[in-house]
Amino acid sequence: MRMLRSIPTLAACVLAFSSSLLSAAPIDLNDGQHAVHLPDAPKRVVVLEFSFLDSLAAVDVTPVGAADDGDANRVLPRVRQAIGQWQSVGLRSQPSIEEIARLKPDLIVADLNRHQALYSDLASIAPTLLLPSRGEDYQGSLKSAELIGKALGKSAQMEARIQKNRENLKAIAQQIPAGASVLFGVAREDSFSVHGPDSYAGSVLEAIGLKVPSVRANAAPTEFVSLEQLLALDPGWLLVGHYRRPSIVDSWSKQPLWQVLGAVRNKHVAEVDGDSWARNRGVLASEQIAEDALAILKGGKAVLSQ
Amino acid sequence: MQRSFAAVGILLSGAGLFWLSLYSWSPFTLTATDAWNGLVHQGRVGGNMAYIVAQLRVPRAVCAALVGACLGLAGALMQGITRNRLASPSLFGVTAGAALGLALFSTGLVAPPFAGGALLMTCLGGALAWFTVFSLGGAWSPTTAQGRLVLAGVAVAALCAALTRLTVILVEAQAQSVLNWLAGSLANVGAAQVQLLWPCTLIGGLWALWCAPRLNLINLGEDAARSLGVGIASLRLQVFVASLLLVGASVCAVGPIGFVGLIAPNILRQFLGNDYRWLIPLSATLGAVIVLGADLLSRAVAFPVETPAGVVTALIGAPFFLFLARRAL
Repeated sequence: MRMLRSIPTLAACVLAFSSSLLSAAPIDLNDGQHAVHLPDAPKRVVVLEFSFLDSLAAVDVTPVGAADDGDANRVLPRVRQAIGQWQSVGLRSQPSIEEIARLKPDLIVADLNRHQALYSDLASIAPTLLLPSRGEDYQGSLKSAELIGKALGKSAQMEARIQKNRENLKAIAQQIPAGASVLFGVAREDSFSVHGPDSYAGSVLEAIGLKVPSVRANAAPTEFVSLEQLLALDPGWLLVGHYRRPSIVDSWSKQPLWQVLGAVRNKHVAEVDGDSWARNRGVLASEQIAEDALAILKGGKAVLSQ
Repeated sequence: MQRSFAAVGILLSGAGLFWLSLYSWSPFTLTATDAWNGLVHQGRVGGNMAYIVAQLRVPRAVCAALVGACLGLAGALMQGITRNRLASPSLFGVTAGAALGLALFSTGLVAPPFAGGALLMTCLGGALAWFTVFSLGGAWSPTTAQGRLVLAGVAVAALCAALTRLTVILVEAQAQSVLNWLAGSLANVGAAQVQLLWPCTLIGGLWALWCAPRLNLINLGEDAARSLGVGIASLRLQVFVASLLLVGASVCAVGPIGFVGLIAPNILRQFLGNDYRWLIPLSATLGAVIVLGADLLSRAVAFPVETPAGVVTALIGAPFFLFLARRAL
């Protein structure tokens, strides 16, 4: 009798299990390092770089956790608006493994450059994608975004967004003075690093038809330069992101030699938001950079993204 | 006679390197005439190139010479007071301690809210490291083996480096800036650094010269020096303060540049013996020559991008230390 009574419960369980099996769509992909198998489209995602947050924002996915250096203000404002709140899992350079495990993610997206050494720890928590982010250029970051779209089961939505991004940049390229030489650099207290044509910001500027001077042949994406080297580069426009004030550019600008720069004489020096331009990469970041560049080159003044 | 030859040789090579560093390895085509106009006429004649020399190259070369002089003097003083040929700011952890002090200051973790806070924190860091090394290494005990002090120095330097790293991790926003500075580079020095360095070098240098005759007596043994009227405790304190001022100023201006204080006095000892009246001024000069040369090399290695001069001195200094350690220990 008791057995008979438990039959409906058993049947319900079997039904529920089989229906979940039917609705689950396993995703298999390769991040270039490892084959990753996801039993279903992930619901609890943890990302360890700002560019991956950008990719999630592009397809309206909110992560459960993100490495944000404990300072959400470093993330591009439009990315923050798109995805809302997340739980911080510490520094991008040293994310907290315990914090990540506590969030019980079903997908982790980590940076190939920064987090390779953590891969086995991360993979033991959840399937982990190791994608290039730091030092990645515009085209490379779109490829990573495509892969993230696939991992989230939102390939079509991501492809449409990337297509829209290409159109947006093309529209900006048509309005901007083509071939103008523009150099973006990050100023700290005692150093100035310029972002060359292979850097993220540099490659976006080139994508909208601007010319980015290079410190030397085969230069790294970002290179530290002295005032003497900056004078030799002599860009038509100089865009500066200050990480700290007073920065080295503040002290250079008080020197008489600063006036030798063509950009200074023509009042073509502008300030941009260092976080948006140097720390963020991805679909939304590229649009922010392109829009800022357009506003500055057309209006001739600084535009700070808020 | 040999001393005069050595002095003239070092001075000439210093002057030559100073002159070269005014116009070589520049992304511009600077000439000797530009260098002359920049140096003598402060760039008022000769156009933009001479102006670049006057505004950028002259302060940089002066800074390199002053930093080298500071480190050479500090090395000679430390070797004199400890009677240990391996003594130097970097091997005794003083440079690493000073770097920790400045890292704490520049990341804003410990920042005295007054002008000169950076120099104070650098000197305090160096002082703390030195005090720890000398306590651990039994510096003042006549029976202590020379190696013990060096081991204590290496351990404290490693501890300071770890704490500096921790500081950098805790305050990631400034990390890159501090890491650049920790490599010891002259790329962005200017008039402000010269203003900081020259009074410290002058005071430290004169103080060191004043200590030189008594360091000669210490070299005979502490008992002998004491019987000849040398106040050992007072001399130790004076050397301690003078060395800290010299190392603190150089670290504060350009970051830690290692091994100069070890190399300069030891090369000179081969020609001059242990007479500190000669060793001290010539260590300053040779220190200047080494840092000027290292700065030139650092510009040439990956031209037009610059590598830190501290890396070049470490590349030369580390094998030199090993060679010396084999002989001295």
